[in-house]
Amino acid sequence: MLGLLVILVGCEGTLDGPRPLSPQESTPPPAAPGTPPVCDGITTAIAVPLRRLTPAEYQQALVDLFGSGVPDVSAVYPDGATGVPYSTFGSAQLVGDQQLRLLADAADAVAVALQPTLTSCNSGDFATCAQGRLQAWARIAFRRAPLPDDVTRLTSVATDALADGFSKSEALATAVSALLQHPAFLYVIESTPDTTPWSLDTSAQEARLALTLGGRLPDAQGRTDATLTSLSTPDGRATELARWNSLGGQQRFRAFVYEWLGLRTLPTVHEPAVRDALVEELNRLIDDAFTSDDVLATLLGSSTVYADRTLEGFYGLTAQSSGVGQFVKRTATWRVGVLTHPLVMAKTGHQQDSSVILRGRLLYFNVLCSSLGTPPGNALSIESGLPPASTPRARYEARAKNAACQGCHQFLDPLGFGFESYDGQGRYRTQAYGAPVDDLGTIRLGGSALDGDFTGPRELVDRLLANDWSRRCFATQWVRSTYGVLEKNQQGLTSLACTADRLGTALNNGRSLEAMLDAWVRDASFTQRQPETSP
Amino acid sequence: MKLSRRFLLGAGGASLALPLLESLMPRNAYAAGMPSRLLVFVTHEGTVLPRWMPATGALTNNLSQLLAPLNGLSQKLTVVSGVSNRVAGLCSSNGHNASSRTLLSAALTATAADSNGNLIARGSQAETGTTTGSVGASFDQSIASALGVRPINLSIATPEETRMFFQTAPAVASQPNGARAEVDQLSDAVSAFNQFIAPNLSMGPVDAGTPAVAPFSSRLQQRRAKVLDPVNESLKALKTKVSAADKLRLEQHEDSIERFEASAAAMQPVDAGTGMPAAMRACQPQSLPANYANRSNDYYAWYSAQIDVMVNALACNVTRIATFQDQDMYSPPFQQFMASPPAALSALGAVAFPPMQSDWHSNVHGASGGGVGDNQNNSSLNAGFTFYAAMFRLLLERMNSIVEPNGATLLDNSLVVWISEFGSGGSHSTENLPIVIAGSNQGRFTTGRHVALAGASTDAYLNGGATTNDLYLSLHRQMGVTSLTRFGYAGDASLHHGGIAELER
Repeated sequence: MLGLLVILVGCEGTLDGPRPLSPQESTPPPAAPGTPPVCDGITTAIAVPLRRLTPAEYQQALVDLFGSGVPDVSAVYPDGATGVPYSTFGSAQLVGDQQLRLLADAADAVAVALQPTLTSCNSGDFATCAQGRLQAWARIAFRRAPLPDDVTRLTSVATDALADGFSKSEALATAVSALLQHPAFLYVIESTPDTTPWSLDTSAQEARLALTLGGRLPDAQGRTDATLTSLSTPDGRATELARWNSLGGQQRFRAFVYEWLGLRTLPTVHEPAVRDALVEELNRLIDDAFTSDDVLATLLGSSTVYADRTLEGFYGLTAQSSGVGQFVKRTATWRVGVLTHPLVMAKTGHQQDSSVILRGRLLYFNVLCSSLGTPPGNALSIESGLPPASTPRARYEARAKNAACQGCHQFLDPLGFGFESYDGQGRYRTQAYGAPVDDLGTIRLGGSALDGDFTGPRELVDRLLANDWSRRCFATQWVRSTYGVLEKNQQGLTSLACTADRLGTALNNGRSLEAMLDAWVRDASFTQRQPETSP
Repeated sequence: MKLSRRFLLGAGGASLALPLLESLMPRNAYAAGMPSRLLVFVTHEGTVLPRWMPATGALTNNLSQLLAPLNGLSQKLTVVSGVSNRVAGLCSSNGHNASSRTLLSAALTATAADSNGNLIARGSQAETGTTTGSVGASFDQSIASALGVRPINLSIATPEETRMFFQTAPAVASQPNGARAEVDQLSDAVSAFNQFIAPNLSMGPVDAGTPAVAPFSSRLQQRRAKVLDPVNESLKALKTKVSAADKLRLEQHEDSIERFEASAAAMQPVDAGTGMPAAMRACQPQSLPANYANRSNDYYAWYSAQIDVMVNALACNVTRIATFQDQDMYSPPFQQFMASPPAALSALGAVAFPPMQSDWHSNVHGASGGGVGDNQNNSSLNAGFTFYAAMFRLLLERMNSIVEPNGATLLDNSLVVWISEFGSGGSHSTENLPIVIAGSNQGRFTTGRHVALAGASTDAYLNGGATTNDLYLSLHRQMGVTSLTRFGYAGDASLHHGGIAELER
């Protein structure tokens, strides 16, 4: 092992802890809308804030630790991820008084459910046995070898409970509750007290891969010395990436795309049976992209429709399916990728009606990666005070005449018009408001090559896919989701913007998700970290 | 199995939001205070009034001969005299039936009322038989109904038939004139616990002599602060190994733990004997008294067990209303059970029973009958009435040992009403009933005083002074039921004086 460590000195990661790196410029200069940042001379080290496990990750971690019989406490575990782009955003996952209580509730519920099964220490020396069990669980839960003090503290929870009259299985379950509230379990941490850049150790790298691509804790293979050692090289990381991608990558990609499309919660306008079928269809469309040679083209441009008997009725298609749940793949001219999927259209609609604002907002922020200030506090009252208008176009024109609204809505609403051929439930239509659908849209980023008019989603998507900014934006969104932080802060762009740009370049070159992910684990920023410039 | 947040927030778990175990605290506890609770304690055959009556005005710890066991708790008591059950006098009776049926209802007996609830002329009333009931609910059940609470009703009686507590609605169609059904009373503490408390606290059933153990989920909740101790220690250690920005994030978590622990320590007074928060101890019923299995021969164990069940039911907020009734007029057969009182009672002045006549009823009558103001110095009566006072004291002590989240004891947060169907037992009089009210209902009820209403018959309480109708109306108000303007039989305006103002402050 010692010889191996010597050989690895020149590699990018370390097996035995963070390694300081040479400082460079930490932030790129501002970039124009729709153009990549200038990253020459910018450090490859990125600042990644601590974050708490998401409810989905926490639930899966329970399964990893204790098997599939654990209760589902994902609805109890505190989910602070509201008002943020992705559920991984650490700033929304911190622990205050309310979260503390819910964490305890979730942990206790699991402990109570497990207690009857925790009988392995009922005979023999309890303290020794409990320590062994807790050491093993902590190794999995903490994603690295636990500190001796942590194991001692957890063991004391069990022995103290036993001394207070708890049965042995109850005492062990009590320590399990403590384990599940332990910061080394709850938090994903990639920082050190260092003020100069450092490199992640291989345990942190394995945890990064497992959580990002598997949505779970490192598995037995990922915890072996051989695997951890292999992560010290880019090729080794690529191999481990491929393993995780095959294990859980598809599910995780679905989860990312749902959040990218604003579908962390589903719209409620559809009948439950329709909604269930639409979820299945959207999953299949995302899965097509996951394996596609051109992930974004498939996501945004596919004309594929998956319809069972329920969706045939919803879409008004001729019957080809043999029944409910029997999905048949077909094409339709009105289907233009996931952006036109009814779940997306309904989420950006108002019950039965469309919304050029919400649809434009989704495109502007999530597909074009542009940003705007926050709406004025009285936006809703201004809106309700606008002159009555019979069509979205007339209403937009009234809105555009108001100085308080025009600054943002000139960018948002014209984008949304491109999707006017989909009603509030996401069904295709050719007539609206007593006239042919008005789906003349406009991209306005401010001097970008993307700028200009378009008619309907097909023209929009064709233009997006012809410009490399779209894939850079897609990569940026994936980076945001993966690291739980924006690539900019109050001071401007951060070095993470350059990571996103490099992944965008890889995606433009290779087109597949696999190409982007391979570039990710080979990028120096996969292992290199630097302090945050501001919390 | 998917647990909803609502589930955990409700019963099982979330309780520690506030540092206290809310699931074991009154469900409708709120920031402004704890919910009012009422316990009605009834013993039989009145008292010997001259030996029971304390001095008027402020109470001292030298109450009276028959209230001596309560010395030491005088500042948590209100003695009420001068209240009469005058409805009983409207009903034909052998002296016991009407006084019992009307004691807590202040309503006519079924045989004294016509189908419209009006009083039948006394000469036309049928002789009250043992099957009659009351045409009105007892005040405890009335309050419980108004509050939407299911009361717990216990007794020391076999068979469980005591005919004082009546439900709010007619339940027996065959009873005349809308007579209310009798409340089902439970005389077996094991049954009471298993039927009433265990299901509400998610506990398994207990057997006599077997300790009742709270479920693991409850005990795990109680240890939350201890479980968080090592978590906090690890947080402190982890803080030194992360960036300055992450350190700030972890400190938020740390601060929450420390706030939790600080408030938990402040809110949960620890019982020195058990090391368990006092309130929690109350919600984790101990084993029944050692001799409970032989309760038919150990009156003290039987009484104690029922007291434990009532106190646990109130402290754990299984209910807000509890009632307890001693055996009927013929019992308890003290001479059989109480040859030598246990030390806990002896310390309060209880004594072994001297030889007495065949039963408690006969002793109360005495060899010469008796009359109002009788002052029998009968050692058996002294022993019996002292026993009642001593058991009442044990009940109060039990309640006073439980400190609740507002920092007051269960006793301070409650009203405990001790009453009997007679004033002077010897004469079987329903005038001037012996009433002791313990607890201050969270400061809404002034204690440490003797409210003597007997002398008020010429002013506020015309025609014989304050009535049980008045008393129960005021107790409704004390419990937050303010919709009534009168309680009990409505056909006689002289029974109603708008309550007893002295008992509403």
